[in-house]
Amino acid sequence: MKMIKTIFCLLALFGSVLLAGEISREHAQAVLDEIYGEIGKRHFDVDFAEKYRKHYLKHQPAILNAPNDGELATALNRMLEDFGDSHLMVQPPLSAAAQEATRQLEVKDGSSAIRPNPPLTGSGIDVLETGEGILIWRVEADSAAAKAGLKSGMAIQHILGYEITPTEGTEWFPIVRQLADMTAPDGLVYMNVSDGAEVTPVQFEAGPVKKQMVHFPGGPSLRGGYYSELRDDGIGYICFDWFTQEMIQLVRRDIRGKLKDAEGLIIDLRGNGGGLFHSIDWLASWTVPQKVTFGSLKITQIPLKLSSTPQPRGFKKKLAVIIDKNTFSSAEIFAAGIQDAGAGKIYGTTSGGQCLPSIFLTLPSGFRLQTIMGEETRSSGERIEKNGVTPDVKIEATAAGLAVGIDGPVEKAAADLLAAAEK
Amino acid sequence: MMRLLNLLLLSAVCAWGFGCSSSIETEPQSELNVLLKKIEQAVDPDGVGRNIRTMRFSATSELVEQKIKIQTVITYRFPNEIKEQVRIGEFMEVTNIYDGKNGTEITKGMGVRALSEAEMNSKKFEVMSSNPQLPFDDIFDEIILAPEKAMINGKPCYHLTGKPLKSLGLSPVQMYFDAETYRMARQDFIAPTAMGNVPMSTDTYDYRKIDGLYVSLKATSKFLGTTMNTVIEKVELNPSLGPDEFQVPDEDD
Repeated sequence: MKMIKTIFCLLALFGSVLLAGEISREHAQAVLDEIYGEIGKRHFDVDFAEKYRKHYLKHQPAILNAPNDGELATALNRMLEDFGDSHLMVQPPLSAAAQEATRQLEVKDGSSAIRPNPPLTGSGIDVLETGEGILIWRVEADSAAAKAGLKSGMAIQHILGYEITPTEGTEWFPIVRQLADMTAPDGLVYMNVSDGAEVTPVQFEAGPVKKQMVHFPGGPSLRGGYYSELRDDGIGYICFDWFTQEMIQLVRRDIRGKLKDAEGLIIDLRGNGGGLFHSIDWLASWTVPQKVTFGSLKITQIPLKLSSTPQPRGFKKKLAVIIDKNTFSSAEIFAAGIQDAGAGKIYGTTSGGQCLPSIFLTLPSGFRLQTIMGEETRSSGERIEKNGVTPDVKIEATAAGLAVGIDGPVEKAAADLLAAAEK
Repeated sequence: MMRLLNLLLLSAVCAWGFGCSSSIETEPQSELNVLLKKIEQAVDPDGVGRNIRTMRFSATSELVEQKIKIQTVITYRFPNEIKEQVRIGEFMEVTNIYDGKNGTEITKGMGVRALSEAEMNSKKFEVMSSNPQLPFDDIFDEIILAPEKAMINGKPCYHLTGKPLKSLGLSPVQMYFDAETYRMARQDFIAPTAMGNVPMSTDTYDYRKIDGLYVSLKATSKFLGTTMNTVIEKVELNPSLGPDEFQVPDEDD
C-alpha cells in the first residue's frame, strides 16, 4: 500500500494532478464525506461507518483546513493511514491538461491510465531491500547503469537528492525503485553507492531499459520488469514486478518455450507489488500441475473462491517461490496458495502483509480513490493482511553474495529443486 | 476482480431474454396466463420470433465508477449454442463457448478453462431464455405472480418469480414487468461463476422494435458494489453463421 502511495506521490511530481487553487471548507467536507462514504460502501467491516468514525473526527479539522486539492489529498491519506488497512489511497483530481491527455488516450482502451510511449528510459537497475539496506540486485546488460560501473550488491546510499538512511516510518524501497527510473532536471541520474569498502558518487545519463508499462484497469500505469532464464543447472527462473496480464503472458510464453524442459522452477516475487487478482490463478495454471485454490475472498459480503486451471502444456515439475518484505497483495495470495496447497516451497523473508482486494474509482468530485472491496483469508482461515506469508525457508540475499553473483534465496531454492529432481 | 468481472459481464449482458411465447400450464384465463400473453405480445407483437434461428448482440458497457469500457458480442444458434466474447479495454479478451454439451472459457493469451456444470447450466438457461421460440414453461418449472405490484424506477411493475427447470439447479429469478408496457424492467438473479454464486440485478429499458422484435437497448447492472451501464449497439436476427462458429479451439494460441 505504501509502495503504491509513493508511486502516486512521485507521479504527482510530474504535474499530472491538480494541486494548486484555493478550496473552501465546504468543498473539503464534501470530498471527505464522499471518500468516507465510498469506502464504507465496500469495506469488509459492516460496521465501518461507526467503528472508523473516530478517525474521521480526528482528521476532520486538518482536512477542512486544507488550502488546495493536493493538500486535501494528503490530509485524507493521513486519515486513511490511521484506518490501518492496506489498499486505501486518495489522489487529487487530474489537472485539465492531464484530463485532456487521458481523454485522448481513452479511445483505445477505455481506462483513465496515462501511458507514456515506449521505449522507456532509466538507469537499468533493479533494487532489493535486505537487512543491509537498499542493494543493487540486478544490472541490465548494456544499460546506462552498467556503463557507469554499477554492480550487483552495491548499496545505494544517496539517489537524486535523497539520503537513503534507515528512518522509522519511511519505506525506502519503493522510493528508490522509482527514483532509479528517473533523472534530475539536468537529465542525469545521481547516486552514491557503496561496495562495502568505499562510497562512490556516480552520475550518468539515463538510457533505454527493458522494462515496459503495465496497466491496471481503471487505475495507474506503472513500469514493470520481467526477467527469466534457464540457469546453467537446469532450473528455470522467473521474476517480475507486477501481477498483470502482460506478465503472465510472458510466463506462459517461457513455460511453453525456453523453460519447458527445466528441472524445477523458481518464481521470484521479491519486490513484487501485486496487481490484478485474475493473474494469480493463471500464474498457477501455468506453473503448477495440480489445482490450487487461493483461500477465500469475500466481496461485499459475498463469499468467493479463486482456483487455478492446470493447463495441458503447463509446467509439471517442482516449484519454489521467493518472497520478501516488499512482496505484497496478489503476490502474497499466490505464495500463500502455493504454500497451503503444498504445491511448492516458499523461500525468503516474511511478506509485507498488505493484502486486501481493492478497486480504483474516479469519484464525481474528480478525486480518485483506491479502496478495499472485501477481504481475503487463507484456506487455514488466517488473514494475510497484517500477518504476511511466512516462508518455509528463511533466507536473505547479502551484499557480498550478490557482488559475486550469489543470490542466497535463489541458490538455496535451486539446490533444493535439483535435489528433489534427482530423487 | 477482473476475472470475476468478465464472468459477471456475460451474465449481465445476457439478462435480456424472456421474449418468449407463453403456454405455461395454468388456468386458461388466470391472471398469470393473461399477463404472460401480454408480455409475449409486448416483445413480439407480430410473431416473428418463431422464425429466428440465430441471433447476435453487440454491446458496449461501462463500469461507471472505474470508467472502464467493455465490448461484448453474444452469438446464439438456437436451440443450444451460445458464444460470448468480452473485451475489457486492452486488458483482457475472454470468449465463452457452450455448444449444448460442453462449455469452454478462452482467455486470450492466458489459457483455456472448462466451464463447471453450474456455469454450463447457466449458459443453457441463457440460451433458453433468449430463444424467442421457446415458451415460458420450457424455461421455468413454475412462475409465481406476486399479489402486489412492485415499484421499479418509479413505475408499478408486475413481480414474477420464475423457478428455472429443476435439472438446471439454478436459483429462482425475480422478474419485474412494467404494468403499462408489459416489458421487462428489472431482473434479479444469482449468477453462477467460476468463483462462486454472485447476486446480480439488471434494469432494462429503451425498448426499440428491431425487425419486428422489441429489444431493450440499454441496461444498468449492479453486482458486488459495482454499477455497469450497457448499450446494445447492434442486434442481428438470423445472421449467417459459419459451421465453426461454436467450435472450441484445442488451445489458445
